[in-house]
Amino acid sequence: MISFSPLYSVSVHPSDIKSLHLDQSEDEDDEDDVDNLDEDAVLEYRSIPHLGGVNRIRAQPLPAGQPIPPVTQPYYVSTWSETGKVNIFDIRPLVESLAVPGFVPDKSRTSTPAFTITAHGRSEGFAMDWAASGTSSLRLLTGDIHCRIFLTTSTGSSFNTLTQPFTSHTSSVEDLQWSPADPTVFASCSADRSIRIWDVRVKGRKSVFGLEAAHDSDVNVISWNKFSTYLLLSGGDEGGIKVWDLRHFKEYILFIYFCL
Amino acid sequence: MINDCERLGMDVDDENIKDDDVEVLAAVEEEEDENAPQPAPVVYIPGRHKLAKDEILEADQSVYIALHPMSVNWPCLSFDVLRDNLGDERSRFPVTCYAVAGTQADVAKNNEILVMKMSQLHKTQRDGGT
Repeated sequence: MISFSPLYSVSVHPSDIKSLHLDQSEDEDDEDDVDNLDEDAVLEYRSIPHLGGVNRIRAQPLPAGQPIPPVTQPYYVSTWSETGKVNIFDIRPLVESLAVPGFVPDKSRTSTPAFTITAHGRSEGFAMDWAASGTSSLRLLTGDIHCRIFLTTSTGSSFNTLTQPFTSHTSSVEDLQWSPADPTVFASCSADRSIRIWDVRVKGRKSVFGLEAAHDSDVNVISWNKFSTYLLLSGGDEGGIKVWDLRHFKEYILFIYFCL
Repeated sequence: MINDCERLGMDVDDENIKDDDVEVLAAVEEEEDENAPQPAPVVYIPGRHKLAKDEILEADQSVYIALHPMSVNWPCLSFDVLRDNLGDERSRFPVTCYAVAGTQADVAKNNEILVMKMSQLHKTQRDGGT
């Protein structure tokens, strides 16, 4: 039986830094900071019981520059559990209870997942990325250690996972990133040392392009350039960071190597 | 496997490598002559430096605009920043921010999702080191 955890309010005393805090206002009328000298940072939190260690947690995207939506609307976070399940929780009421003293969250809304992706079976994973089209159409990619990528999309107040996975990798999927420019395109990278570009519309769910041996070891992370549709960054286990031009994907255009 | 802390470090956009998000190895020996210059602090690089028995890492307070260590009950492998309604592109201190994290507890059933609010985050930056 899942029970909701009580309020935790912890006042943390910084151990290494001096207690003198310096507040400097940006404009001319300076705040009187004498009263702030002894104030310590405060951490308050609400917790949701979760079965299995969390490999990755991601909050849904929201339109840029907009505040958090009203408390009646959901604010989803997804978790990759080491049990193999991906849970999607609505944490909006918990944020409200932290922001507004006295607000009592609806336990039924927060303590159990709004949706659970079971398509990965018992395979755990780390790769996870949200994207949004407008304010209500969400899509979530999840990739597991057994090479499979599943797509889950929002449908009204719930979600649906496409039955067929995207399969082209031959080892653990380490990272997934939706293209910021094309809503049907995403990139993936894997312990099989490859980076792949996919389009969700492709029948058969195979990658449209694969760059083998992108790094000397596992490719751990990838990141699209937000301002240019053809630049992609990748990082490998060997300590290398590479910039790729998708128009000429066979060779990287910049290679930085960090030696430890 | 790169966790989110390493990802965050790699995202720091900084032209000066010295100002990167690293701890500073503080000079341990005391100077008898107060006018003698302090030994330059050595930036700690994991894998390259090994801490001696009584050495500790000390944050370089001139690097961070605000640095506030906090602890929760379990180590966490992953976190994300949450949107709030306190305004976009805030710049005045103290700041408040919301984040979410997932734990790595001792047994499966002890894990939690933590929805956190961090407040009273004052500026701590002091020029010229500690």
